[in-house]
Amino acid sequence: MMNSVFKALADPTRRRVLELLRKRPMTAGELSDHFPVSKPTMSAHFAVLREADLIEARKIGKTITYQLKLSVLEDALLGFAKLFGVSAERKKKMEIAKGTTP
Amino acid sequence: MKRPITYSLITAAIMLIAAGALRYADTMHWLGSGGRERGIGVIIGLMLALMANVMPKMLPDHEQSVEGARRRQSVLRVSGWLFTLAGLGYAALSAFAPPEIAFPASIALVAGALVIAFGYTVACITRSRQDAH
Repeated sequence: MMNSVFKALADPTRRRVLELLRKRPMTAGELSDHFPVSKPTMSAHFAVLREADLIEARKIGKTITYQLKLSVLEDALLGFAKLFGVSAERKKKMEIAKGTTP
Repeated sequence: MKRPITYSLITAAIMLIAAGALRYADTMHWLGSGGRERGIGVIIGLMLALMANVMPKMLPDHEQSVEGARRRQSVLRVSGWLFTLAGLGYAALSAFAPPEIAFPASIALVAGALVIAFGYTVACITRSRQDAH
């Protein structure tokens, strides 16, 4: 179970999906509009998040809407993953700027 | 939540095993003065944290609207965090604080979390009724 959670949180796109859902539940279309990737790719990300039980798809009114479903521990892990993800990205940008990236 | 019954059974088993281990340690005189009470406090605190941890996953089967779902999600998340931290604080105070402070401070911590969670829930309900009118 925790393996699927770590796998889900390892990807920055999936972490961003969870952050968006933290604000409010959204449809698949609304979520996809925030990312420059194809709908099948987004569907794959949603499937990984559903498998890890981090989001749930439910019918609200006439549309299928995704809702966040993080336990407190998973919420904390998301925060740590975001922190380390941002640190790694910043380090990569600095290395590119210095010209030290191979 | 996936497999809620399994999670509940595991939680119950942990509680029983911990209580049994504490009783055995007390019988063998391994615990010092007040050790049993500290142990019980730690178990209670950790159990509260364990149960509060999954509160945000307890979504209802049906929702009327996206706004209602957003408010419910917010209440469950805030309450889950409050009671998880209160439970961990309860366990820590029971384990490390002086005995005369441990119990009242632990209770105050959990009571404080309860008051804040209740207040937040009432505020969300009030706001949703105002929006409805």
